[in-house]
Amino acid sequence: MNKFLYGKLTPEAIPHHWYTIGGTVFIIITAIALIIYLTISKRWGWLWNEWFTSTDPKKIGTMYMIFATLMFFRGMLDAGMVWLQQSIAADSQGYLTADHFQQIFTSHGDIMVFFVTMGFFFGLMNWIVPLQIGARDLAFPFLNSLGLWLTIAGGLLINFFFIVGGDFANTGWLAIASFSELEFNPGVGVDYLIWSLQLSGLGSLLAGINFLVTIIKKRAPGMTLMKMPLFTWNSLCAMVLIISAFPVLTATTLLLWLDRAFGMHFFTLDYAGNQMMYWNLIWMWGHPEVYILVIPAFGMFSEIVSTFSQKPVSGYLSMVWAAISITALSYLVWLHHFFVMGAGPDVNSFFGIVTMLIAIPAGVQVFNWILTMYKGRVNLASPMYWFIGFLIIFMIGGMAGIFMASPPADFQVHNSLFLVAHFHTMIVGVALFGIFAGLTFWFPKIFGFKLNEHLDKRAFWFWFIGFFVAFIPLYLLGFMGAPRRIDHYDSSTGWQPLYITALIGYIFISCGIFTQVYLVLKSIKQRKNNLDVSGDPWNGRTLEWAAHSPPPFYNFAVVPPIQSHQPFWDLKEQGWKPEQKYHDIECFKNTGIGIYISIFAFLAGFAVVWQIIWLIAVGLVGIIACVITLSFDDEMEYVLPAEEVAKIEKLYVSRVSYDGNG
Amino acid sequence: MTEMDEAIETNDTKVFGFWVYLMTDLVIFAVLFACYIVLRANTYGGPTPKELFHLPSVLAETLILLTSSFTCSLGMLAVHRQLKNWAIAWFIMTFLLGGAFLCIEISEFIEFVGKGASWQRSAFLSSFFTLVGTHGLHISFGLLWMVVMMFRIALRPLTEHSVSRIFRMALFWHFLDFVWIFIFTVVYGIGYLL
Amino acid sequence: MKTKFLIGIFTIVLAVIGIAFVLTSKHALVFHPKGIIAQKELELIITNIILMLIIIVPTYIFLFAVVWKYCIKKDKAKYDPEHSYGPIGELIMWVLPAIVVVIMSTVTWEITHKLDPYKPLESEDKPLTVQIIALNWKWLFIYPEQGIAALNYFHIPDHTPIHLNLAADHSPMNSFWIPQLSGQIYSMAGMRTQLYLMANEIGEYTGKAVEINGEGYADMTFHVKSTSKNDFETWVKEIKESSKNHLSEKAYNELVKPEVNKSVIFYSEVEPDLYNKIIHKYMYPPNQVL
Repeated sequence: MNKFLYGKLTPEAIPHHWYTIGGTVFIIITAIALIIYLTISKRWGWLWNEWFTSTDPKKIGTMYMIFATLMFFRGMLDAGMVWLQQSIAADSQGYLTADHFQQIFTSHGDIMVFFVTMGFFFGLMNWIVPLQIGARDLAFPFLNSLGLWLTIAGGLLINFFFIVGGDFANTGWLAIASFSELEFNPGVGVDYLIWSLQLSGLGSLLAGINFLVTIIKKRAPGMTLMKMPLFTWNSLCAMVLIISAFPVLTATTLLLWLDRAFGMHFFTLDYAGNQMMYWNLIWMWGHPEVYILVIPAFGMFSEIVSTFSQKPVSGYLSMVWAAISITALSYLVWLHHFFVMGAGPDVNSFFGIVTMLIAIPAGVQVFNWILTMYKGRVNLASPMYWFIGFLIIFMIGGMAGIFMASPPADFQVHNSLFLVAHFHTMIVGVALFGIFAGLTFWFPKIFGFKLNEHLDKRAFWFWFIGFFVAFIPLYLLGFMGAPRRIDHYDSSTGWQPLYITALIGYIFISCGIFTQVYLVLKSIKQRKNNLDVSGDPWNGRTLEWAAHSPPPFYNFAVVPPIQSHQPFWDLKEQGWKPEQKYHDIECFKNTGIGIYISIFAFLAGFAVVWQIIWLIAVGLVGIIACVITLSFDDEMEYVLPAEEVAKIEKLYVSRVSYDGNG
Repeated sequence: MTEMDEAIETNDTKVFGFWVYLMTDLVIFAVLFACYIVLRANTYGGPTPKELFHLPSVLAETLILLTSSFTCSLGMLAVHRQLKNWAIAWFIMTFLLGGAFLCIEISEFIEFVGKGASWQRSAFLSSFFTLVGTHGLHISFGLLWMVVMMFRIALRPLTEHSVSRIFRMALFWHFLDFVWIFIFTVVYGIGYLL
Repeated sequence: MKTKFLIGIFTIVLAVIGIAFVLTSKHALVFHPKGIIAQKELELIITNIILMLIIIVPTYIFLFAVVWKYCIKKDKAKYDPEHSYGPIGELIMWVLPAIVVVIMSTVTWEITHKLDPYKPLESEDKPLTVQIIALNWKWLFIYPEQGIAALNYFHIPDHTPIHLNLAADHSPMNSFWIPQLSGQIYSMAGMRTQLYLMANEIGEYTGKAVEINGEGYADMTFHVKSTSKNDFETWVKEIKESSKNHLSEKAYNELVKPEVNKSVIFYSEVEPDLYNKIIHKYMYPPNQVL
């Protein structure tokens, strides 16, 4: 009876290790404080109606970004704990047990990849892609809300071991088999990993379908594919990768779960399971995933360099084809993640050579970015700092990548800290710098006022210097024979000074983060002095700058005409003024069903982890009931009459002047 | 744009989006097929495909499913012609055929487990049960969706919007038939003959 | 402005000196090969770095020149928003990196085949066969021709090709790495992987496990010793005569139990065909005949 009621739950599941309890207490106190605040200020209704149930991609985008920021702090805390352990664990066990240390870097990886980078990218895409293509909303507004809430449910599940369970997976971020099988990991940690990835993976997949259909079907009249701005092009390529790769993740982690929950033998050591199959499948997802993380950043940087160089991006056609080729090639390289598995020289060389081919479009992009600045008149605003920092770091990371693409060279650096340095170079130097640059660049559009330039530049320097101090030692440690993921080592290896240097780099980066927090707070305080009244603070070239800052929920009252891949620049040169003739606008209603489905999904996910069968049934039935209810709702849209549109526009138009000077 | 044009465009977008979703579902099946092909010889000294598979029942399942696709198309035709009663009749027929398919499949599973050839016996059996079982799970969801659509036909007017929803359900059903052709060939056909 | 620039240059120079210092020190194992495979791999590493620098250094120079002229000293620079290189320029941009990549690809194809871990080394000496089993969390080395075994101790004669046959037992994917002798190879249950290596000189090294496999992962190191052929023969003889340990099936099963074991144990007798038995047991149930 107890097994039916509680599944695998026992009193042991209440967190009782000193290190987990810190997190438990923090989460509980924060949650209670938030509940008290919302109740006292009577903002529950506002939160529910204005934000949670919204299907407006701008609100959804903001929620994605707030969620990603919270997860970012958790991920950075994990990183700090890892660095501290490695700095002191020479000839000693340090302050963490091996198991705990392994749990920390596992959650660090999953949180940073799935919730921080993807969260920020979906946030920015939600905001900017519809504006750039002149659309009012995504193709499927309900799915947008559902995708957000499933991602948040996944984020809640990945942190839930702090409340129930006490242990997370210790397998590394990909839950690699056969280490993640029951034989080596009988606890629930791996299940928490699998199911939080399933939930957020489903959210990402839905968002991917949504953006793909939006970009293909919802562009403004006159915007052909070859007139799309580069951020939208790169987002499209990333979406193609998402819809083709994420199902592989869903299927593969599902099979791992079937092994663990039903005693199947896909990847087990016994009963003729094949663990190499897991490696192939997970990297067939994993490699496109890492390109999903960097391709949107490339797009953002293209927008930024052309805007601030006051020149169209050099080689638009090449840039488009570069993005497409990187997308196509990313499907053909997965084996380079395990050259050392002994696939033989023919197979290894093939994958190595195809990996090297990616250097060609990457190189083309770098040349074009530099050429965009050439003969431009560059305004060194803070997004340009992030851009130049990115270019410098990207080439180092790219070099390291091509270096490892050669199998025999990889044999000496695989799974060493050289590898860790390479992928952090790409994720921090490309994806994260891209996010910071994009946030600074589009901040005035999103919030209606600019960020404090000076503080942002200072944050950049902390990050830029911190990056080198933190990661160059890791490249060197790889050459010194230091494996990744080790929790202690002998001091005779000579590694400790470099680990300590890396820790100093982390401290620099933390200063950068504190500066960024202070930056946001100070900018909010000073916002009245930095208002973006015209909607065009940077003398932009693409359509999002034609909208108000921040735009009304319908984006454009009248969609401007599109003539080239820099539509707003053309309009400014022609002295275009928006006509005041307004039409009725079809809008999508708010809905709470996305939240309800995600709550049931979270309950089902939690129940699956602990094998509480009745709760799984409740969750599944709940989801199905919500979907059926939704299917009978034919009134999800409403019409905003033209007079209402006129009223809203009047509030903005008085502030705007389209004389091209911003 | 007129209201009708906007409605058509929205439904077009929804159908396009649904096709994109079907492609992602196909990728999931592709992974399961890849696993099956890699693991089909990993019987760990246990039951092999030749020993287990019963081609007559597989043939029956295939004919039933193909027929159900046909009846589903007839139902869709009726929907387009606003013939509610015929539509419901044909979908009930499709539902019964789908149900029969599931019965045969479940009895096959029960028979295997009874013989000691459960999903825990070997990697081959794990991948067999997962691939065929996932298809069966999709069929179950398809049947549920069909029932919901039948209620819609009965209770709501057959607007463009409704027709588009029913069309997507029919598309899903045909897609499952398409996947079954591959299962029939790769799992049972190749497994039995090679 | 000028001070910031000078500080920047100074820091970069200091960093480069630091990097050179680290890489030339004896701790930079990959850069101080003691075996022929590691040596060839280092040659490849340096070739690759040079080939990439050929593209990267000019690009950096170009970047800094453009930043200097158009971002920092932009008042003196010409502003030409219509500027474009046209289709020929775009073509050159694709072709230049393509040429470097083609060169690197050719090198890669050849060298990957030459340095295939499964490829026997050219030598007049007959290769010494060693069978290696990765266990949680220790390494077992069996010398089938000599009939001895050692735990966490890998002793080889120098200037002799060594043919490693690897596997694992009740341990997930493992990676076997002696950085100064050669690159890594995975060892896993139910499969035989191979690696050929040869030590160039006499020395002592530490071997490592490089694929996470549990709590004892960081403790899964082993001693490596390469000595002259005579010293190696002496060592084998010593073990056969004096060691009382027998690697029977029972003793082996004790070793398989998951616990960290850093001790060095020598076995004078080994259960016959132990290695093959360990691999085959994963393919068929125990009661079935092969």
